[in-house]
Amino acid sequence: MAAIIKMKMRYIFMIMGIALFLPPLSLIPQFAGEVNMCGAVCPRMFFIIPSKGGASGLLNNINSMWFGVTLVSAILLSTLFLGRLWCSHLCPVGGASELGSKGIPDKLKINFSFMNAPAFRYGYLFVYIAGAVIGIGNITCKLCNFRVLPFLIGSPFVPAYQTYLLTTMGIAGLFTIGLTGFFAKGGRAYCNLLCPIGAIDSIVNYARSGFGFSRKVKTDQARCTGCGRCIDSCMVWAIKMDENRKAQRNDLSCMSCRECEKVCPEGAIGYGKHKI
Amino acid sequence: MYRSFLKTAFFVIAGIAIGIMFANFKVRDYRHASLVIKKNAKTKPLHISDYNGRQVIAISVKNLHGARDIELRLKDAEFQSWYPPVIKMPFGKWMEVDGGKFREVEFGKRIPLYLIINGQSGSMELEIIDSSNGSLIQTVHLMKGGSNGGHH
Repeated sequence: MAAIIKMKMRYIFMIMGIALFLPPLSLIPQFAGEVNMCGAVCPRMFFIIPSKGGASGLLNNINSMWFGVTLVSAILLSTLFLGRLWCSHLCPVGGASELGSKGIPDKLKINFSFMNAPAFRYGYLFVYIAGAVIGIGNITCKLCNFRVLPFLIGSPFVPAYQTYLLTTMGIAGLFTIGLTGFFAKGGRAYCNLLCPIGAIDSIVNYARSGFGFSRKVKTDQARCTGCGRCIDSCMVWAIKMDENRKAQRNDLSCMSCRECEKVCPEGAIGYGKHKI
Repeated sequence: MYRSFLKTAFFVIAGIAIGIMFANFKVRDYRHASLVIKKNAKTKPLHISDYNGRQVIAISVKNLHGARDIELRLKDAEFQSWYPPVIKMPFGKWMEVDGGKFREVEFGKRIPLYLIINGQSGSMELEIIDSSNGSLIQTVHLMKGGSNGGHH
C-alpha cells in the first residue's frame, strides 16, 4: 500500500494543486483577493516589457500582479534547490492537462517529440516578453491555458466563464489546450512549448545542474542498458538515446517528475544531490 | 552537427512565428479593454468591433473614485463578472455583484467585467453611476470599428 501511495504521490499533489488554485474552491487566489489565476495572481504578465511607460510600466505590472511575482519567485527558488517540482507536482493547469489526457485513448494523441522543444520554446518566449515593445504584438491572455482551464473547470458554477468560453477567443483557447494538453502524448506539450513560466524555470533548472547543493534526476550510465523505457515515459521528451545507447537527459526540458525513475528496470535512475 | 544546427534554427523560427501568430490573433466577437473610474477624468472612447452579432467586451475596470457602490449602465447590454468566488473563504472580504451593480468596491480594486452587447448599431454610451447617491461619475463612449481597445 505504501509503495502504491509513493508511486501515485505526484498525482495526489497535482489534485491538491487543482483544488487549491482553481475554481470552485480557489483557496490560494482568495488570499490575494482573486477567484482564479488572473488579476493579482497572474504569474505570466508582470515580466512582459510594456510598449508604454518603460520601467515605470514594468513596476506598475509588478505592483498589480504582486501575488504572481511572489509565486514565480518561490517557483524559481524551489527549482534552484529541488528541481522543477512546481511544474511536475503542483501546477494546477499542467496537472489538469496531464490528468485530462489520461482519459483520452493513446491512438488519438499527438506525439510532439519530433520537435526541438527548447529551440521552439525560447523563440516563442522572445515574442512573449518583447513582442509588445518591438511592435510584433502582445500575446498576454490570448489562448492562455492559465485562463482557459480554470474557466473550463469553473464554468458549471460561474456564467461569466461560460460567456468567455463561447466566444471565438474561448473556443480557440479550448482548441489550443485540447491539442497541446488533452490530446498530446503525456498531456504536457503546452507546458513544454508555450508556457512562459516553464521556459524561465527550465533555464534555472539547466543553470543549477552543476551546483552541488541542488537535487536532480540523474542516470547511472554504467547501469543503463538502453532499453528506452525512460524515453517512452517522459512527458516532455527530455530523454534521448546517445550513440552508445545510453539515456541522456536534457535539463532544459526535464521537469523532475521522476516518471522515468519508476519505469527503469535496472534502477539506474535516481533523484538526489550526489551521483547515484 | 550542421543538421542539428539547422533543426535548432528551424524550431526557433517556428517558435517566433507561432508567437507572432498568437500576438496578432484577433476575433470579432471578443475584445479586451481597460477603464479607470475617476470623476472628471478624461476618458478615451472604447473602440469595439463593428460586428453586429453578439460581442463580448472584457473590461478591466479600476476604481480610482471614492465611491464604494458603483453601477454601470448600458442600454440593452448584459453585464457579468466572475466575482465573487463560488465558495467564499472566511478570511476574504468580497464585493457584492448583481449584474452591473457592485457594492463595497475598495479603492484601487480592479473589477473584471464582461459587457455583452448584441446587435446594437452606432456608438453607445456606458454610464458609470455612484449608486449611493445616484450621481453620474463618468460616461464612456463605445465606438464601433477602429483600433482594438487595448489590454490592461
